[in-house]
Parts: sequence; C-alpha cells; structure tokens
Amino acid sequence: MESILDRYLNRVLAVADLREPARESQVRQELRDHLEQKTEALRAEGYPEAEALLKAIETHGNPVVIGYRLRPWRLIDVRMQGTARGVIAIGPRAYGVVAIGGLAIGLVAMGGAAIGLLAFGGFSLALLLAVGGLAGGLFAYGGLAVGAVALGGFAIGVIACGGSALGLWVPGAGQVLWSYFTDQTAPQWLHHLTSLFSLDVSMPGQRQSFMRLTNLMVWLNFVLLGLMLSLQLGLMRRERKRLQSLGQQPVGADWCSL
Amino acid sequence: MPQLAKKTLDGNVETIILATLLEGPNYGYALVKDINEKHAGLLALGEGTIYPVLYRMEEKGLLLAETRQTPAGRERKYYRIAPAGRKALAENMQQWAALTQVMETIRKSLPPQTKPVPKTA
Repeated sequence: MESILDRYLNRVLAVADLREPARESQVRQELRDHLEQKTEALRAEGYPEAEALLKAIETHGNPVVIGYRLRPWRLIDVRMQGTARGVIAIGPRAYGVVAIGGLAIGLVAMGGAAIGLLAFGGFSLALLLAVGGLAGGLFAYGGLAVGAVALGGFAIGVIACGGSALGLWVPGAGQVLWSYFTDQTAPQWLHHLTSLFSLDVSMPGQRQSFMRLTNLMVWLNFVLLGLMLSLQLGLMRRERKRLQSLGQQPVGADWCSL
Repeated sequence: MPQLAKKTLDGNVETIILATLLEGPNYGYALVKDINEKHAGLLALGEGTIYPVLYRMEEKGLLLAETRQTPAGRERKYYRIAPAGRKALAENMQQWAALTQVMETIRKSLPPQTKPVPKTA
C-alpha cells in the first residue's frame, strides 16, 4: 500500500509535471531524504513515529504550492493556484502572451483585472483596446471608459462618447458633462477622428455607422470572450484529467486529505 | 529583533541561501535547519519551498550541485556557491548597504513621534 509519504510526494510531482523521468526521480529522492531526516529529528524530540511523519509533511508545506513552484516554464501553463507564466497562461494570476485569470497581464489579457495590448475584463487597462466594466486605453469601451477614444455609459476621453461624457470633445448625443471644444471650435483632426469612428450620431449618416461600430464591439467582445473562455475551460479540464490520470484529486481539494 | 515581513524576506531568500552556503557546501535539509535557526519565519510557507529556489539558483548558475554518498550509502545532493553566486551575493550586499544607509538617514530625520517604539510585553 502506498505510504502517506509517497502520496505526498506523488501529489507534489503530479502538480509539478516535470516531464523528465530522471529529473523527477532526482527531485523525489531529494524531497524524500529531507522528509525522512525531518521525521527522524522529530522522533528524537519525542514525537511518536506516525505523528512525526505527519508533522514533517506539515512543516514541509502544501504539496500544491511546492509542486507549482517546481514546475518549469512552459508554453501552456494552467494552474489552479498561484501565478501562471507561459505563452498561454491561465491561473488566478496569469502572465503570458495570452493571459486569462483573476489578474491577467499579457498581449491579450482577459480577467477580473486585465492589463495588456488588448484587455477584456471587469477592470481592463490596455495600450490599444480595453473593454470592460472599467476600461482604460487608447480605445476604451465599457461601463466607465477612459481613453483617447472612450465609448461607454460614462466616458472620459479626448473624444468621449456615451450616456454621460466629458472630454476634449464630446460629439453626438448623450449627456455632455463637459466638452472643451464645440462643433464649431473643434479642430479638423478631431472631426476626422470622429468621422473615422463614426462617433457623432447627430451627423447625418453617422448614427448608422456608430450603431455598426458599437455592434461590432459587442460582437467582438462576445467572440473573444467566448474563445478565451473555451480555451480556459478546455485547458483546465485537460489539467484536471492529467491529475486524475495520475491518481490525484484536482488541485483545490483539501491537501490534508492525502 | 523584530519579525521581518514576508514580502521583505521573499525577495531575499536567494541572498540568504548564498550567505549560508558561504560557510561551506550543504544539502537541503541541513540548509533549511541552518536557515530556520538563524532566520526564523523565512520559510513560512513550508520547508519544501526552499527546493524550487535551490533549483532555480542552480539553473541560473549561482549554485553548483554535486551528489555525495551518505554513510548509509544513499545519494545526497550537496549545493555550493558558484563564482557567479559569490558575485551576486557581493552585489546584493552592496545594494543592501546602500539601502540601509538611505533608510538610516530617513529614520534619523523623522520626528520623534514617528520613530518605532519598542513593543512592551
């Protein structure tokens, strides 16, 4: 029967996913050596054998935390705890080209708080396009949008357009809280930009274009969110299956139930 | 001595390992024991968290590792500080010395009521 020490080490190494048998064997040997020496030391202090082993395992640390810390860098990194780093990174905190997580930082980032070139999330900050409840970026679209071009329920920007808006120029309909320029005083480049994005819904022909733009944003949001969510769910399912195939409970289960 | 905050310690685990290994090559368990005696609380997340740090330092060339036989005939991995590790340690110490100096200047310039008060039992 598998000992509790083996179960602990199996858990650490299943999460670590080292992918090199020689390396895995060396790490297992080193951790086992540590735990056996610790158990011996605790027995010398007066702990009964079984209790000494449990105490040694407890002081060694959560196998999931250690396993994830042992995990080498990889292209696709999916974690249920800690920080994921990879080309595609998925985890509570994720840093990658495509990052999905509670806090996601990447070229394309999606999450509770997302920071990137393109960012989608509750709070999103992007160099190019930010979409979210609170969105900040060159082009921001959201409940509260702040950006060079901001579109949203409440928009603040160089060009701000929305339910309530304030900015250098607030073209079109909605409640204008403050606008530095008026239609007459706005410089030509602002007019060009506004036409480019069809933001001035009061202008003939632009209302339809504006609606097309907002529809496009909504669809883009849906498609990207759908893709990212599918990717996230698919990869997390794969990780769960991998752990199960190694006889491990999915990460997140109580580690004390070894 | 006041308990150091985890975030202060986290960034300096490598430096502490390097400094500990200056005393000579050592293996994981003995290293942890040594660190726990000198710097209580450093491995608050568990003694096993030292191994990912050791492997990372080995990969970075800060540490060299070799396998030795124990008296019981088992293999044990010993770590020793590499030349790059000595250099990194010296640089870190310089940084700390400079930071300490800055903090000391700030501390001296603080009005009396903002200076830390020793805790009473």
